[in-house]
Amino acid sequence: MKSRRLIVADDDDDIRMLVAMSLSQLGGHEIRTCSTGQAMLELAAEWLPDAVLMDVRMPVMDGPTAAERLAAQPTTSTIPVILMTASVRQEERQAFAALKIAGVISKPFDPMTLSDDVTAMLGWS
Amino acid sequence: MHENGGATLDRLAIDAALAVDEHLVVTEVGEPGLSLFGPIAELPAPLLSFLPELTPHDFGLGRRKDEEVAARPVETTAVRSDGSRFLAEVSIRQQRASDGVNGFVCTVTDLSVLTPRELGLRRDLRRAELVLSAVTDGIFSIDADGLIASANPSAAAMLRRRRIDLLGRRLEDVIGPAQANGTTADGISPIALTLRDGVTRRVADTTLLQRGGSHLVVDFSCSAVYEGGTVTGGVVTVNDVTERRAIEQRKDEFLSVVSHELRTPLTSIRGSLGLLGGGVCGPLTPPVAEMIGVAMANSQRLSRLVSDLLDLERLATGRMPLQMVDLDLADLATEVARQQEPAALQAGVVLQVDVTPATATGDAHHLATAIVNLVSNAIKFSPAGGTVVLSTGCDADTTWIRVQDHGRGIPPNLQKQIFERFSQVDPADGTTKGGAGLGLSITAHIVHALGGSIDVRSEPGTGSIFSILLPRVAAASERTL
Repeated sequence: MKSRRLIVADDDDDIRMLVAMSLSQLGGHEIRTCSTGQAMLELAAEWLPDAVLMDVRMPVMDGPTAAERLAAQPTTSTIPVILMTASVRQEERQAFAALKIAGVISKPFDPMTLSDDVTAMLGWS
Repeated sequence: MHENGGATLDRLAIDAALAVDEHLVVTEVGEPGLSLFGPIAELPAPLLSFLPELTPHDFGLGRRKDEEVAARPVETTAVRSDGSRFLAEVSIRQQRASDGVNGFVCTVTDLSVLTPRELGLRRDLRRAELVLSAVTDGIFSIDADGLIASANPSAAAMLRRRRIDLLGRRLEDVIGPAQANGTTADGISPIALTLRDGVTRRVADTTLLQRGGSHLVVDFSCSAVYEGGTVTGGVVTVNDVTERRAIEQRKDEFLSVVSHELRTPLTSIRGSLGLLGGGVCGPLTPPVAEMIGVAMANSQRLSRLVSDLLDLERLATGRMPLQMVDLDLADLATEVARQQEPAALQAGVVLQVDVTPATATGDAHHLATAIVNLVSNAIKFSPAGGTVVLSTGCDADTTWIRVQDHGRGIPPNLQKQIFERFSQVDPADGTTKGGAGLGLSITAHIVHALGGSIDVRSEPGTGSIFSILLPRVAAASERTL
């Protein structure tokens, strides 16, 4: 499987580390991390990753807002986004439907299958 | 007048008004008052010489200055000018000026002329009025055309209108909007339906339009009034649930924050254990792998418990959003069986799927949860080598999903109780079977929210059959229950 470049954005240090470790060690992807939606936008504009994996609730700028901003910028508009959420509220899931995102990953997730799940959501093979 | 002993109408017509100042001194008596009390030598005269049993308290005096005393009639002894006594009913109405109470009007009715039967009827009627005035629910009576015939004070207060202004108005005009008050597609309100067929109806979470355009969140029920076998009107009871709904919403928000905050550290625990157990951080010796397995299973159990608790709370308070669609239950059951296959395999249980075509209207996600709970219980409580049968089917108006096991069964005295939260057949199950006793409660709530029912047939020693029964066609395409 081809190695890809992914940004992982989450304000929880431990979760960010675990997601990055799972995607790099098990998926063989190149990972960069940040902890706010704002930082993700700056990093994405500069690094132009293949995809962004991002938490919903983050300080400064939350995931859904950052996803909208990313899509609104011509240089980053084609970068697919996967949101991660610890919420089980269906209303929140329904609100995501309005966003152009590639998928939603529920927390807690299985780190052993995370990379495969991401690959499947993004249609990578 | 009462001395002519004439017709009942005449006898009942004796209502004398006395004007009284703020010191309880009678300042004025009209003609009916003079015929009731006899010639009064001198005015002003102290009121208590006519009505000696009344106290200043009955007039609201000595209470907080602005307090308004409702014109609540009291029965008391009255004294005529010749000293003779009679039973009277007195209503006191405050006369208010800008600086507070400046007098009263006492309406005195002679009850002594009534026969004991008439007096009894009058007291019954008065009691009924007092009860209606005291209840906090709004109560409207409507005529056969749905027009308001009477309203109790709570009903008027809910609408912020005077009771007299409500008479003759159409109740449906203030209960709504139409899409939320249970009105059918062809525009017939539940109130109109009840007036038509006499069946009592209940509508939850609708609104009442107040004067000024604001809305109150209410539940209401509507029942028919029969006279001589035909429906001649109805009674609509309205319950203000604004506060309750607000509390439920705050509780819901609190629970969802708590659930989110609990799941965040669980994500780290589950993630670390997953990577450790998967050998990503290095090879494991068998005892280490076993310990990690224990920790992992319990972190999963904890996260399931967190989401179950939130689900249960939302289902119980009717705040779970439902997406009602037409479902193929045979497909849904087959999919659930596929998901549960690994668990069955691990427990050494044969999971047999025996589906026949079955369709119903329901929420796919929640119904799948309900089936998963039943199947996973059946697997949990089956002996190794046992068989669990998941089947679907339908008859004329019911669609069913059935889960049969050959486990230890449920004693008859516990068969109702197992649907309650945190209920276990054996208190030891919580630890040995790894469940908190929420699954069946969630399942029952889901099935009820979808308009169905659940039942269990079980015999200790031979096993249990759980059946979910759903109507073949549900009423609405989307609703929150």
